[in-house]
Amino acid sequence: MEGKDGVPDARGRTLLNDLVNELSASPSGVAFIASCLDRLVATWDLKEAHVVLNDAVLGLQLFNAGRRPFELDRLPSGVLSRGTGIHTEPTLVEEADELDAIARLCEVALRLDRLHYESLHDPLTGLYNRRGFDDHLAASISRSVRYGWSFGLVLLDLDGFKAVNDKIGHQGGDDVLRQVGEDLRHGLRAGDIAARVGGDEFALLLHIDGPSSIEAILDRLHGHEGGNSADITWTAGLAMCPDEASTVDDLYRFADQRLYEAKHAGQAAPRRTESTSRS
Amino acid sequence: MTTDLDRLELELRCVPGVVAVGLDRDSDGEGLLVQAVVLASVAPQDLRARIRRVVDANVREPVSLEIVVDALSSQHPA
Repeated sequence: MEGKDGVPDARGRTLLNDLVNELSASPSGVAFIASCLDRLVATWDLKEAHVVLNDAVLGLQLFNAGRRPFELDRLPSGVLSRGTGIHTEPTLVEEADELDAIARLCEVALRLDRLHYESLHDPLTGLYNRRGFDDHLAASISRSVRYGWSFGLVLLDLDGFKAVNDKIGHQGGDDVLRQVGEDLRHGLRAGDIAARVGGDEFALLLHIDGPSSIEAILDRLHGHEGGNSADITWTAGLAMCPDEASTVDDLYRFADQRLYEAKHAGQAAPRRTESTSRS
Repeated sequence: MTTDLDRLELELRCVPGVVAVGLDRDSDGEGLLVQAVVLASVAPQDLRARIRRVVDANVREPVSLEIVVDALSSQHPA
């Protein structure tokens, strides 16, 4: 590798070493990839730099330096068909080995991100899992305390789900859980969040002013047509933030207590009472 | 109010069909532009709704959402 004056150009090797050290300290994989591209552009004063990665789960992924939106009339010509790797304008011919190594680092970073994503989501329903939901819950509590916004934590427990499993088997039970997940995903309003936080327990983060709003929302979550062969109802427990609690643990405790009381009172409180129509 | 841009970008890229994400701030720094570049051939039918839900779940500030469909499809390798 040589610079313009024939003197060996160490910039590629130096950048690669820096990036190797940065990978583990980066806040996320996508931030690391953005940093790689930005530093490539800065180091060689490039017009453009992209990286195309092929993740085992996400498939082809294209990243733009600066994380900038693509201008539709300036989309990088043929960038995906050039295959995986880093593509620059102008082309850095002499640094091909270093660019290839940096692209491998980006692959690792994206894989780490994807594993992180999977750690926050429920693979069966695609909803957040407890950990992913709690991140949003904690952020909502902070906003509620700071700005005085109210929201509700709702715990939903499917009624008699064990009997469903016994009746139609675990595969059928999984189908019911997927269907409930779809109902929640499609039925919630913008900004509301759903999660599967236990075997047959779901949680909702609803931006509501008080308990009076919840029944209408849960009514709207009645299932989509088609699916499984069991009649599913649910029982709900609600806790309001900040009026009733303003910590994650306290909100769960309040909502869980309400859910417990509703279950034992045999209440449909508020409760999904219609069977999902099955074919 | 801040948005976790890393999380937003990752969750968008996990929507099937999304191959690129662009993020930018308005010149006054008050709003966020979110661009999702999509290959329709591998996208689910409810792609737009899925993208919208990801944005709504992660962004608590004024946001403009731009979904670019198939602008790269002719360049997709066989």
